[in-house]
Amino acid sequence: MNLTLYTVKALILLDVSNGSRVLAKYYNTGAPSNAATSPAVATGPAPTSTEFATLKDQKTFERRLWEKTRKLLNNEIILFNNHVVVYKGMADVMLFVVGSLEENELMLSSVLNTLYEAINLVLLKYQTEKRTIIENMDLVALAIDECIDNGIVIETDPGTIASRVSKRPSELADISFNDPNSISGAMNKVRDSFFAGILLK
Amino acid sequence: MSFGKKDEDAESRGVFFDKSQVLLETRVFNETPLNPRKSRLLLGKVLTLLYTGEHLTRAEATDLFFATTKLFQNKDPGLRQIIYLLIKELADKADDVLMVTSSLTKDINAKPEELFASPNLLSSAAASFGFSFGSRTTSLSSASAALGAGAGPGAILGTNVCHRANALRAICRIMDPSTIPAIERFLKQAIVDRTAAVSTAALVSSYHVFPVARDLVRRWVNEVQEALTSPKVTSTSPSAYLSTGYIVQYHALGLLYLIRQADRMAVAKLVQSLARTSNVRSQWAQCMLVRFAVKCCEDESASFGGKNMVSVDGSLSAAMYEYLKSLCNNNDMVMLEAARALVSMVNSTPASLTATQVQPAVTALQQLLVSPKPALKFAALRTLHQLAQVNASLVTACNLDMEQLVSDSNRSIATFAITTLLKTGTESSVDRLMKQISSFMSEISDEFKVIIIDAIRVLAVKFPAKQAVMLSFLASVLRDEGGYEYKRSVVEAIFDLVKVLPDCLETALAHLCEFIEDCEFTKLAVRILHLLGAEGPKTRDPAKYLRYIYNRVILENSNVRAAAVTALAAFGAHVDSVRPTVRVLLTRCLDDPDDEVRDRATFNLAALDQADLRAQYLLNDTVLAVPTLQAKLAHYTAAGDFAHAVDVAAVPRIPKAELVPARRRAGSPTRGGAMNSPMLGSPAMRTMTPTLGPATPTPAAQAAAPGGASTQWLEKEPLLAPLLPTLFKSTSSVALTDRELEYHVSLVKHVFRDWLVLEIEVVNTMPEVLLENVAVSLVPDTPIDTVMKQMAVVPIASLKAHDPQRVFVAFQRAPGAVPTVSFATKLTMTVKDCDPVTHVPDSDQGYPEEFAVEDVDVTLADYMLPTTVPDFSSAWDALDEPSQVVETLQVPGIPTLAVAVAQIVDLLGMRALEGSNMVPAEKHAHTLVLGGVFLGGVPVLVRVRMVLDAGAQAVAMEVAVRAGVPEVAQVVAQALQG
Repeated sequence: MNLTLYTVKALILLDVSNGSRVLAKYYNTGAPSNAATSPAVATGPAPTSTEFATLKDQKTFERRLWEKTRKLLNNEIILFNNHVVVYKGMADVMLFVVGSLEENELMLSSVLNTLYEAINLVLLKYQTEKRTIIENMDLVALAIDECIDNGIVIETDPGTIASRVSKRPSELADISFNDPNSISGAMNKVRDSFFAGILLK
Repeated sequence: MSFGKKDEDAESRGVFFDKSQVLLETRVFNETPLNPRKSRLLLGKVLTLLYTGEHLTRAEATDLFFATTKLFQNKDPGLRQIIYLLIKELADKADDVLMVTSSLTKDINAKPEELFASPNLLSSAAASFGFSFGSRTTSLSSASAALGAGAGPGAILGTNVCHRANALRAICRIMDPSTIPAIERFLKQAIVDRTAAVSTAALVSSYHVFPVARDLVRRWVNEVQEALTSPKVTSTSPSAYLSTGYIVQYHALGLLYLIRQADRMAVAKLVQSLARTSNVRSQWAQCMLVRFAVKCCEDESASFGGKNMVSVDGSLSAAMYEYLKSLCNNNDMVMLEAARALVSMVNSTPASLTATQVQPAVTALQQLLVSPKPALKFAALRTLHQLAQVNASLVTACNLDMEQLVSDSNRSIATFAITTLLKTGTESSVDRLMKQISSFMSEISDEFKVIIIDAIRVLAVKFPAKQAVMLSFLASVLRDEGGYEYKRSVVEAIFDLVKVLPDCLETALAHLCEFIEDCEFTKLAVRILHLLGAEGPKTRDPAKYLRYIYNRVILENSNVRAAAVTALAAFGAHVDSVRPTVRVLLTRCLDDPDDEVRDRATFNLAALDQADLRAQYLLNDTVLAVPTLQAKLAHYTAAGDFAHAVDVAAVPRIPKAELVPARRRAGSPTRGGAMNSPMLGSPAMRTMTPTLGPATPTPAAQAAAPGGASTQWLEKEPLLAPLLPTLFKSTSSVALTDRELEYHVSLVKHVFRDWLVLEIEVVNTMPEVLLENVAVSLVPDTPIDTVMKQMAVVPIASLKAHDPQRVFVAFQRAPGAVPTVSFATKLTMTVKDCDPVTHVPDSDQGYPEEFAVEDVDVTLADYMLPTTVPDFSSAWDALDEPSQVVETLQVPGIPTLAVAVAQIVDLLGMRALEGSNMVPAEKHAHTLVLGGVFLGGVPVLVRVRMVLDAGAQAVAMEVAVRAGVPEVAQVVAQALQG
């Protein structure tokens, strides 16, 4: 029984077509952290398992997970390698939330849905696809960070999460016509003020 | 950020940006004026690098970290938020991350209007070194007040709040144990902040640092308690997304438990008080509460010796049960957690719930089964499946719903449904179910098939009448395509059927013979050939199997050929009529290209021809107990004294059948195993083969005696380790105290050639007490000085709570003496009060204490190892008649012969042979035969003829003992008289 708040072991976004990683965050992998320089941390609440300690382990896990799930996008849940994994497809990527074997499936599924909606919300009018996620990694990363802090779920309401993700700084400081980002930047600005307008209404 | 054509290849590998390129671009952080937008986008790229697994060297990370800190000069909120995130990501990758402490502290304390309003406000930024907290006493309440009033329209929604929360979470990541006290004040205040985001950030951060700052976090218990109960606001904007903010309760509850977890009473009180009120509004918090409640119940039932507490009115468990029951019609998440909690309380111990008590859980799960969401169905089925492992009848109510799910598109769900149905199914539904499965088998992957085969195996054992259906099903799937694991599970299932249901032996062997005709898996072919050799000779027409086996010799690889040769020999040895044929076949194998095959053929031919060799090697179904032998050899090689040969006589023999450890079978797969089975790559699914392992000394020593305790602690004791090569036996561990007492004491006896060592394990269960100089005082009931002398006591210097340690007492015995004695035993120690966490004693002054435990008995059984002999009567005859000692005795007060048999076996520590420990009911006369190896490797056989006088409840017995040494026979016979 998991008596700690550490619910999410990993959060993974994979390319649906080839299983390559778009984004992956593994929590409490036992990798040395600053706080962990003290030996006392070994007895702490964090389940510092070493199963995902190396990049190689992680990639192997992802590859096998992708092979198992890519044809079964609607299944939503799978027991995999002693983990409960819930997942969802979003355009050309798949979003996975990994929990321990005894974890409450509905908790994981709730995190998954929260993330799914929060990411959609921060990307607003863009298609939630691989390219946009990479282009807007700042927004996506912040949304994830507002949802999960080192394996602990800190917010379950996608709207609240989206509202906590700050907009990008305004373009005014450097409008340059040579900047290849200026078009999308301008669009962002329009979107941002639109967004803020709605929220303040 | 442009995606050129040439990049597409890299992109498909998950490489979106070039690391060195991105790191180079971070130069823009130094530009003046700083471009916040560009900087943020660049940090986005850096995050992409990190999240896709790009490795940064320590130097690169540190450079990046310091470049990033320069950005603190800019006040843009959008930039600031991502800086916090990057600090967290780099905290464990870069050096000197403490540098940003003061910048973060400033943000945590800043008044909202200060934070981002004035771009000219000098930022501390990278220039600030060291710690300068407390110079400003910014009032958090004024910050909250300002927030409450609503930030101006120009401000971005909740920005300040968010940034305080983000800064809090970031700062805790960069702190180390020595610096955390410096931020105590902010954290403590933030915990009770009215804003959910800030409160959550503080609670979660405290949670993360708890391991390194226990004592500090403990002091905030009042604040955490307040966070648990007081309402929160989540957003300053009236119309924005309004989450309830109850999630804070989840974090507060988790932290509160973490702080109190060592104190069982406090946890129980917490859970009880929260369960009674309806204050816990967050589903997540409720789920946690359910888990804590289960933990409380487990602790309680453990401390009351496993009695059913639920039925006791007013007990903690009873209250918890009512609470869990009431949650069974809550929302899905909590309902599942509560139902699962109830199910986990159903088990085979007396403390479990009754069928009626678990009914609410089953009803709740049944509701979930019909949900359209896969996760819900999956969760409910998984729980029901777990319940079915323990008590299938409780789940039958859901059978109809589960049958619907057999065809579910999610194969995990379908498999759970099938396996659960196979558990709960009645004999009448088996046929229908099998038909359903047959149609389904071809569509699923091997992993699922393995699980289904396992379930069928269990079912076949449960309903022997249906074995024909099962067997033909197994045979048909054996013919299908499939991988090794799958085929193996089918073969295992057939093996099990053969073992449990002798009726189906011939049919099963026929199927297996057909299978090996075309079997691509060497391992399976070898195992089947072995089974044929073992079981084939027992059938009516053994000759027909010879053809199948010899075909393997002609067609297969060397491993299979070798196995086939051995199988052939087994036929030849057991069945006189086929022996000439076998001899001819084996002779042909003498020309085999493989030397192992030739060796086996030569050996078996020789053994077949001579009756005595045949009896010794081919018909002998006992083997040396491998773990004991292994331990003995390990000690022998470790001692390095090779002048004497290893004493093999002192190694007991066991029947071959017991060489394979009791495998997971029938209705008792472990819960964990059952829960995780589907989808596993299945290497760890079942460990069928005996793991005799490599000959490392430690595992060998752990298994020193079958059922005995390990000698691993003895090996670590420099005084006693040299004795190890003469170790004869270690008994299994026996408790000398009840579980409720403050100290748990248990005993292992190690018997050596000339020594006896008592290993007494002591567990101190009281965290607030430190025991020092723990020793044992042993007072014998009879004078033993002539035969045995206490030579040494190894005390425990200092004993902390829950840290088992051992006292050793060593006795030297007079040569040849095997004293039996009973010691009145007590522990002597010095007790000191201490801090429950650090175990540092409060003062140097302790007080002496004595603690009496149960008597330590040294009995004859301690000098005896159970063993087996291939054939009792010939072994009996082989031992000298003159060594025989016969005693007749009358034992009163024994109601049945079975009791008498159990007592004798227990008393002598020998093994009942030839099934003579099973006394048929209603019989009044019985002969018990026993085998053992006495200290020094002396074989001992005992024959007890007994007659029950049912009226007088007494047993008359005639005991005959024969041993390799007459004195030993004397001693054994005398032991029974006592």
